Amino acid sequence: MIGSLLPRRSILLGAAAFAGTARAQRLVDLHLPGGPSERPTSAAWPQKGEMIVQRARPPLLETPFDVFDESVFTPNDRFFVRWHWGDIPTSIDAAAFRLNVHGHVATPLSLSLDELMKLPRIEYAAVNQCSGNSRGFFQPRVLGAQWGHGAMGNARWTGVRLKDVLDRAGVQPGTVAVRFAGLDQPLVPDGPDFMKSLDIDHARDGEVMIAFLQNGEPLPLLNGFPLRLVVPGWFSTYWMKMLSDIEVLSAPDDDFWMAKAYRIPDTPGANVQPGAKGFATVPINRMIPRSWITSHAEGARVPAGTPLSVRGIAMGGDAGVKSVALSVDGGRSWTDAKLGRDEGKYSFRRFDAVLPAPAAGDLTLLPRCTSTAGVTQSMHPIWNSGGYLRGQVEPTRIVAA
Amino acid sequence: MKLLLLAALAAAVTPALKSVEISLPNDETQFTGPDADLLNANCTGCHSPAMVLYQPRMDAAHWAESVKKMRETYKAPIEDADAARLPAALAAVQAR
Repeated sequence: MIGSLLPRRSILLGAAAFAGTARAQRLVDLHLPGGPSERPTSAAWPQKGEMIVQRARPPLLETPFDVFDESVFTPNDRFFVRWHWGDIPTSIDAAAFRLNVHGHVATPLSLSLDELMKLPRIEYAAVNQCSGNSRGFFQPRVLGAQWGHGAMGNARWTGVRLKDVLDRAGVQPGTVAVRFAGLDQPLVPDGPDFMKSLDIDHARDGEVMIAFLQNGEPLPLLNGFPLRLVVPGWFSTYWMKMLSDIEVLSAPDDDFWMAKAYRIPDTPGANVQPGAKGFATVPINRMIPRSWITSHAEGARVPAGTPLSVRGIAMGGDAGVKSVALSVDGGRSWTDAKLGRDEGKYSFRRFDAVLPAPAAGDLTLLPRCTSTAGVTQSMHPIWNSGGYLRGQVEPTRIVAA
Repeated sequence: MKLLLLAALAAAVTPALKSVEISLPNDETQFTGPDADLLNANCTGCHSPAMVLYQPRMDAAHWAESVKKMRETYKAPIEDADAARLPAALAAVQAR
């Protein structure tokens, strides 16, 4: 019976692309150099609206870029999803859930959600961006999830300070790091369980948060319900989903996910020549400034001879957005954009500008962000084999006619 | 007193964390073509075929590195005989 089904399934596949039973709604072109560039979208994922399906299992769901034009806050049901292993719990019992704190502490803790929510609250907006966001644009291309620019989102996070939880457990002298793990598990028994760690001073900085609300609502399960670590200004790999285990370490974390994976060249801008060897590496860490046009998609048509209104979003990385400038002449001259409301230094920030009427023909819009730390986006691409830390000025090519 | 009131208000407007149960969409996609059995047996246990099919074009030598990583780092249970055939099969399925 199963044998007779297989050929039919194979035939269906040709038409249904890779969406499986998650019904494809449309194909999105991510404009990845050399392709394959088209991806199906689907609204079949629980607690999610239409998402770009990069991979169904384990889910890699990208936010369609037009979502970023609607608001600086990314709706929870459009927030990107990325899991490493396929063993993801599909049910969470809120009463039975415990967050365990153990290791180099005076008093190990096993906190219920009710106990955790009695601690003092903090709230701030912060961009959550995958380490490999925009990897698909690297040239030469590199292996990994072939994201466009939508493996990121901005939300208002509410929770408690990691510091308060650590203080309650009593971090012992000689502590060097704190390691985090979630409820997801490897599919193969001896596969490396996903864990990440922060230096103790970072973990206790009073900003790192154990979040239970995302944009004022409980997190979608695929974004880490019930608890997610929020590490503002740092890449998403540290923002442990379904956070259930906090281990206080008296020695550096030599586990695979810190010692071998998610590492970047210890060079300026994490940039190396393709094929280069012998350079030192460090764990990926702080984000850098980025900005994108959101009002116009690649290839959009605009009227020639009419002033052109454009808008977009910017982020400062590990700092606020100081300014955004726009160029339509390949970077020879720049015009300052008007910045939107400041939602906090770790948030996306809206920018808009009215550009002089373009003549008929091709036009390349270049937005460039400078952070409050004084870092300005480069015009030049970087390269590393992990496809991490892209931050160059991103062109949007449109046509005036 | 004012602080207490604020805390009470904050608690009152916080949505309760209720138990959640979801089901994930089935992913029934399979590799097709001459090496389908080999690829389905060795790759789709952990991930969808899309993870392969959306990669940029690579030759067999590059795929060999990927197969090695899957076996050694992520402990994919791939037999030696299959591991030897996979790089060419991966390069070929991309080209289809």
